[in-house]
Amino acid sequence: MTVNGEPSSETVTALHELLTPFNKTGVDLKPGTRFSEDLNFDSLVVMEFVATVEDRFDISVPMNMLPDITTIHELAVAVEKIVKADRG
Amino acid sequence: MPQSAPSASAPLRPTPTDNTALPKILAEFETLPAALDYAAKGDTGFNFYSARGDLATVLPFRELRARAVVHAVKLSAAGLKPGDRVALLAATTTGFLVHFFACQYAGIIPVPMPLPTAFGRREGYIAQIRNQVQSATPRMIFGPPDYLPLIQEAAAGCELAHIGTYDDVAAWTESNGKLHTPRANDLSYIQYSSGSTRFPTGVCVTHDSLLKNCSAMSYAVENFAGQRAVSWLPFFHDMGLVGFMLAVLTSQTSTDYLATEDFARRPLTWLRLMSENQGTMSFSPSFGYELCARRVQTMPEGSLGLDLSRWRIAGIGGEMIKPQVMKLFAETFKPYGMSEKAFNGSYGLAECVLGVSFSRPMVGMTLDHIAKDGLATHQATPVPNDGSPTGRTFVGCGEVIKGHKVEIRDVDDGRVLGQREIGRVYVAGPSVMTGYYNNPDATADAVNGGWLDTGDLGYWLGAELFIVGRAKDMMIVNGRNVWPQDIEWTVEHMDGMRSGDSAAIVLVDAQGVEKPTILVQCRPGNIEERGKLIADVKARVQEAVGIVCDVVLVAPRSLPKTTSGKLARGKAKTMFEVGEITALDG
Repeated sequence: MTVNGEPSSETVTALHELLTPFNKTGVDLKPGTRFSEDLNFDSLVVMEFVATVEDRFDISVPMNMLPDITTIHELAVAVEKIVKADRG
Repeated sequence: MPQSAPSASAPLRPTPTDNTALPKILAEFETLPAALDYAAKGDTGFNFYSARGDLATVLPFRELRARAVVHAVKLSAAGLKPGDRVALLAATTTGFLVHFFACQYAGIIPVPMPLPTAFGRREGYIAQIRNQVQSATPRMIFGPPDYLPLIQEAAAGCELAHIGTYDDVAAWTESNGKLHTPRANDLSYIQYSSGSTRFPTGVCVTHDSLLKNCSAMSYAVENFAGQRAVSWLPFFHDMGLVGFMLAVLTSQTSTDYLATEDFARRPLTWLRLMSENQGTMSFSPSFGYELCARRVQTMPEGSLGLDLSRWRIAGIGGEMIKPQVMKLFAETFKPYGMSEKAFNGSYGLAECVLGVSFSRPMVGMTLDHIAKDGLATHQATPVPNDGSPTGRTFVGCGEVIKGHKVEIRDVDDGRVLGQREIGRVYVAGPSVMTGYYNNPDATADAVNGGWLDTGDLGYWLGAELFIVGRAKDMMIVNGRNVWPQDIEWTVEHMDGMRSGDSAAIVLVDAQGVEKPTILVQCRPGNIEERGKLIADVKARVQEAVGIVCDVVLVAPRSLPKTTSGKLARGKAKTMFEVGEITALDG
């Protein structure tokens, strides 16, 4: 799925779909869009969104990854990393 | 009785709600090891559930004691002496529990430390851990393996004998360690409080103060036979650590755990556990109830298959109680047997171990509607509850726990106040802390002659305590007392604003003139939009609160919060003054 560390377009598209109902600020979703500054996520919204990501990809996102995820791009990379690890 | 969880091999069963042969004792012990020694004679204990609500691990008090004693010897053999501190990352795991109690049996002082909880918060988290490590000066730090890189970074440069996982200790083979029997007045643990204005402040909790508080709380909520607790509260917060780890253990109460992060992702799992295990006691800040109610709004009524009819202590604490949230929760879960009489308003703080006052079980919330402008005159003047903006509704926090005293004193002259007079809340009694760890200045500010200055404002209505806000943040504008909460409430009820988006503070300019100022979190927009927002906030505050404020726009998420999610107003002010929070160009 991942080529040269870039997440696949399927992953990014899926994340954009999941983000749409959470995008209360109505910003354009780009790879560099930040969850806290641009989308105004507080920690509760973060967890609700993580739950939808987990359900969609059938994965479990470890809590210790969260502090290093600031942008949509970083989340996409993290999701693919977990999917790959889970599927062997 | 609780059902056993399905499992491939030997089916796991949660610990029973009641012991058959062991009489229940409500924390009337000298020390925490003595309390666990007693609980270990029965069959009750702790049960850990997975994110999907399946039983994952069972830890009867008997087994917890056995493992804690083994690990106490290992920690001692590794060179830790009575009085040494050990930092423990407070994950909802058996590793944390076993080592917290291992420390108790070795006379070592555990210091629970928080876990990270949000996207992109690395720097803030590391700074928080580093501050606590520098304050508590632990000799070792343990945690789940996933978090070790963060901890190593946070503790870089600190002198530590070991940073490792809970499993590391299990592998240690040195056996020449010694158990240590503590005395009642020895330190049991250090709890970093969520105090907004004093950072970092580690509350020193002795065995005696802990057990006196646990006992008084257990009597207040009538934790007699038949009670079963369910909790998702983090162990690094006093409500989770004391209320749902120590108070339940010292009263031999079986407790079912859901990790905080799993609750945050799937809040209804909390209610499923209450239902399936026939839980009777659980606590949450208002937002936990709100999260559940919100999640259910889109589902067909009655479709969840829950039975919440046994829930008799639905405790609310940790922040100002929001009556409209509780009403929504009651309405939403009424079809599942939820009784609003179970709502139990309470008040407490880590400086008093945990609990100060509780409502009586199965009485429900007491609501009091008072005039908003009355707050400025120190009088809680009752007004009709007609939803008018000049009134405000507060929820009663119950009656003071046994063995403790509360006084409400005048903010200016310190005289003791009577019914419906608003003043500062002071607490005295056996659970009041001896002090903050290694911080005599902060201690002297907080405790005087056995009376703890809570920094909160409240009033009496009969024997019931009502909390209205924080005295320490009170603003005086042109001789008038203004509550920052009122200003923030106004701002946060404007379109596009949310709870926690603003902080009302007083800044002093170069001429020594005090200027009320509102820091408002705003999303990026163009300069024109920002100018309009500033004007709108100014106008709305002037209209609603009657004062003219400076409005400063700051970046989203830049306002600091306490560990319990409240706005850290004092810290916001300091951070703004020293330039750690900067104004957006507007």
